[in-house]
Amino acid sequence: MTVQNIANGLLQGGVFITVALGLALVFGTLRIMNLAHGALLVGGGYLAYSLQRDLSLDPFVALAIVVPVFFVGGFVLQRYYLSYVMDHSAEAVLVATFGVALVLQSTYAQIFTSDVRSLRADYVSGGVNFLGIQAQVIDLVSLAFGITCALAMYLALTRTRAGAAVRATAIDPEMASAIGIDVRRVFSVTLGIGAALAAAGGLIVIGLGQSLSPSGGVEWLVKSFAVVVLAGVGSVPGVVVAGFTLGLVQVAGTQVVGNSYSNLIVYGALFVFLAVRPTGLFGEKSA
Amino acid sequence: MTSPLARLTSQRWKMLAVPVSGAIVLTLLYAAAPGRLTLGSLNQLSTLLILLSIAQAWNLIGGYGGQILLGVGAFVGTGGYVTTLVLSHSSLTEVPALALASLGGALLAAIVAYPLFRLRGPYFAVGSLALTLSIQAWMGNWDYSGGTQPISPPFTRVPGPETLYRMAVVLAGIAMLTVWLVRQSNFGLRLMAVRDAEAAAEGAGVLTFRTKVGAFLLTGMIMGLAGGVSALQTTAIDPGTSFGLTWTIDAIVMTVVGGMGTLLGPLVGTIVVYYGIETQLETTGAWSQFITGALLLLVVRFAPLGLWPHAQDLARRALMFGRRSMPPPQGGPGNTAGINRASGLEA
Repeated sequence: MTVQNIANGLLQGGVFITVALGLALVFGTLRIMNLAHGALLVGGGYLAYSLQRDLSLDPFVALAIVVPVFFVGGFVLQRYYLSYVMDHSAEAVLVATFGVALVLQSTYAQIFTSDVRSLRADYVSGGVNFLGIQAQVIDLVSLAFGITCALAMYLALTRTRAGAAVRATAIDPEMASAIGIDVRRVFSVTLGIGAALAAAGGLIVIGLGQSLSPSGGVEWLVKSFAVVVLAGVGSVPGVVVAGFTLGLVQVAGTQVVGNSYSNLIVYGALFVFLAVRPTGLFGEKSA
Repeated sequence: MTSPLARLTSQRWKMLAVPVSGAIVLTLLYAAAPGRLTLGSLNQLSTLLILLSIAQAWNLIGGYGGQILLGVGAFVGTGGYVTTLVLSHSSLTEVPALALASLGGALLAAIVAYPLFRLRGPYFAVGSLALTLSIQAWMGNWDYSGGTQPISPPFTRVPGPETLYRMAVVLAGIAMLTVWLVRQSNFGLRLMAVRDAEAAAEGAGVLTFRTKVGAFLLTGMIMGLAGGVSALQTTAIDPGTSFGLTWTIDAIVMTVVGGMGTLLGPLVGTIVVYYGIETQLETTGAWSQFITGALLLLVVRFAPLGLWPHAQDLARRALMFGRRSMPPPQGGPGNTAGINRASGLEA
């Protein structure tokens, strides 16, 4: 591995961290595997795309609209829909989030057709050269965004009163409820934050860094899941370490077998890891 | 008061009523439909029967086994590719090719069972999705099967619409019969025990891993066979559609809307979703998928057992109106806890 390869791996890791944070938060707190996560990632990009196309709004300015819209969307989804389904069974919740993904994906296909779209921002489209290492500006932005969000989430969860309530709810909702935590509210706010994080991350990583397609969410869901599994349930530092690990593994793998197998390397790594250590690097609970 | 013997006989009759009427319907479909229907309707009916089989196979692992499989395409696609490749590269006829497709589906299930069933709940679900995406990516890079390009069996070896329709009837019969047999068997009881309380089942001596793998093999077998028949129907397959997510969407929506863990739920769901939505909105593109997704959301929220058990419950209530001495219905939505807690012995 050359220095350039390692840099590429770390930058790819930044992408993985950014897309996985929302899923990790929701899974760690509500114990819901949100199958709509991929559709939310793509959705942030699509909303910014229509804002740019119709109002010529800069994608980074659009974040100020995308984040609150998806926060409210996630909050409402949990508060007025998923919270009722959660009373039925775990399987019902999985099927319900699958249905949400289906509805979102078909909405995107209806509005934006299945043609590939992407966002434009000239100041992040170039590359930089630092001590002989090449990097795309957008990849550096993704990395910075991912690390900042991870740090903010970690500090919020461990240093604030609200964060303590979220952690208590994650460990034991009934006991948390008994000591006066409004569990329903914690769940709704958490899903709101998870959706907003996903939309913002998707806007940057997929909308600006790559390209949007209605069905592209599935692939991103699996990649995010790979990071969460590698990290272990409920660990923010785990997500960072897992993202970088997966990024390095992907770059190292493509050096050996070629670019056309780059997704296969991530899925393969996921399976190997699930077989060897299903609890993740930092996990507290087994699969 | 009925004697135990009379009760046993009446139960035996009740138990046989469903398969006997099913066999009659299937025989009628097999013999009577081809001459009387237009080729278009026959083709639609074949598609319906293929989708029913896939939904029923999903029902086995998802409804009776409680394992939310998101990788239906892996098995359907394998069946399709095995059939097409066998017909293209050997002198075997359609029926042995379909048998191999079915075997291929079961074999794939056997291979992936060990890593997948180390996973539970959502891990299993997304793990199976990752599996499908892996196979899809792999097939796109595999030159022998044509890479991402569509492949077709030799034109002369594709069965005509009537033969194909009869194959679809037999396929649906196999799927329904398999689920009916599983439901009547001790194996089925073990499977539902694993679904409802895995730890308790294990404590009671059920070999949970072996039970789940058993159901998975049957699921893979039926899906492989269905994929083979479907490939003969469409005559051109490529990794994007053969291993795609559409199969998973159809299987889940049809089974959940009709009623997971019931024998006739997938039939009701397939008719409602395929005839009610997909063929009606064929020309409207993504709207069809939007409406199916919305229907799924509504059913999960307001009729969590599925349309068929709720309809049964309504019918029972209507029949019992005024007869206060009758016991309350068992397994209705009022006294069950979850979507998959429907009594396994209801039709």
